[in-house]
Amino acid sequence: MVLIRGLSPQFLDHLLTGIEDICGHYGHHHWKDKLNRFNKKYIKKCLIAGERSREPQLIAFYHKMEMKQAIELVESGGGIKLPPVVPSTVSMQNIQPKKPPPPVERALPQIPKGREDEIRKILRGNLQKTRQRLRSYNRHTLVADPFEDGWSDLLLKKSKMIELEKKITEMNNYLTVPAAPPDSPTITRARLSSDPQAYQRKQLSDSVPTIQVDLASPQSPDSLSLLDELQRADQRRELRRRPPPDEEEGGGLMMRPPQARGGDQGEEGGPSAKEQRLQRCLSDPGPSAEDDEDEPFLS
Amino acid sequence: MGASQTRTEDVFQELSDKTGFSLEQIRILHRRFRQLSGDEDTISKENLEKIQALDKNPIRNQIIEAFFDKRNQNDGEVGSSREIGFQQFVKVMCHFKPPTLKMTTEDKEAMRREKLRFLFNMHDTDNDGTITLDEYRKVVEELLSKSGAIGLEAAKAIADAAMLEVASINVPHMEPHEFYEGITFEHFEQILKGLEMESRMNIRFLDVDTSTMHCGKSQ
Repeated sequence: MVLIRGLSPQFLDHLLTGIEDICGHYGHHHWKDKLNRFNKKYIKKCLIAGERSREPQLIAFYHKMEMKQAIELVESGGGIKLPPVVPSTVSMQNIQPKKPPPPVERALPQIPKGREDEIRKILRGNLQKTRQRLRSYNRHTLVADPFEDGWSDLLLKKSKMIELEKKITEMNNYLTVPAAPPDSPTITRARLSSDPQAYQRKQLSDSVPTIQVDLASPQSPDSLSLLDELQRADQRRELRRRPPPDEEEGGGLMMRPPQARGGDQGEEGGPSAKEQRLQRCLSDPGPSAEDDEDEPFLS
Repeated sequence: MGASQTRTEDVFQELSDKTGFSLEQIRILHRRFRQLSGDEDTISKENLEKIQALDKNPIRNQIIEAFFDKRNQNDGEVGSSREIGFQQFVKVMCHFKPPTLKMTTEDKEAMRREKLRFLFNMHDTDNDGTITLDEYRKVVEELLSKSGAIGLEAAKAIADAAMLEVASINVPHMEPHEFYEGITFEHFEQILKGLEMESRMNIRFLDVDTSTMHCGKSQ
């Protein structure tokens, strides 16, 4: 919505200017257009220093829009009532035409790659930010806000440990059916399904467990190493299973693919149930059953 | 005053009644029409293409095409005319009348819908009732190519992102094999709702109520 609505004032301006020109009427749009062109051609070059004087219209538009959104956010104190967002499975392949479009004969002016990348980056960021923002305001679906550092991670890991402890006592062959460690698709999906790059893999890159929880009971070191094993196993599994994005751009634009979800539920017993428990745990800060039962590392 | 002049005036009066333009406005438009047509009864696309001021306009072709698009004549026909007469010219101009104070909410709704329909037609070039990704890409390319020195790839990216946004809002759950045909008129209306098109898509001098016009400060 945002993008099309953003483009429409431009479209409209040109349309109305054109109609005025056809009528031979020197109206508002005619003069406004003339002034804009004059402005762009001469004045901007003189008055605005450096790169920004050559800023294509759309980038300027995006900066303006982001500014506006930021101001709106601050003014409303974050209490905007946003429409409920349904997680979407739409991706590029749903809108690509089946037959390849005929090659474009016209040569449009090329711009340096850096500029194109900047545009693409802004677009992607904008799209994701919109989606992230829309999701994060509903506290009942909020599992962990990635912009709050530390605390939610800690909570997440703590509850993960609790879950794992439970699982250990239940199942025998735990290593072949790993639980969902913090960065697995299940949890990542629970948080934000829009930004695949939100979580860097740096935590799991080496074998040292990253959980900093203060462990009281002697059994916890075992669970720790188990978790570590699982993380690595899952990471390997994830990397194999995750479909490579078609292209850099496509990956950015794509919404979370549904394959991961399907795969998960097939293999593991009730990750969704865990997910729900996890959500409840975090969104409701009151005492919960899990906290009482499994005590070892909650001080 | 010859007989033909009276006939012309009659025609003008008829047009004025039909379209809601004042006689004065019809006369002005007619003068311009004759100018564009080289004093002929019809104008073709070439006549409009000659207008110099349009050269800088990035969506010039779409605008010119709109005059010859039969859909904008609202008589049920489709396709593109090669030439149009004065009546058809005026009919297209009707889409740019501002709302009057006397209009009811329903009238404003109807006017908004008609204007949106006009915009939609400009995008849906093959007249299949949807704005496909290709069609939208073309519009965005035209819009951005001349004004912002944006490359083809970037324009495509913007069009794609916009389409994706619309698709995900209108049909959030799509299987990978499903295909989103394009933006229908209903979607289009929905997207541009709240922009108050009836107030924005206007050419001021086409204000219907000439009694409000006076010398001095123009609005």
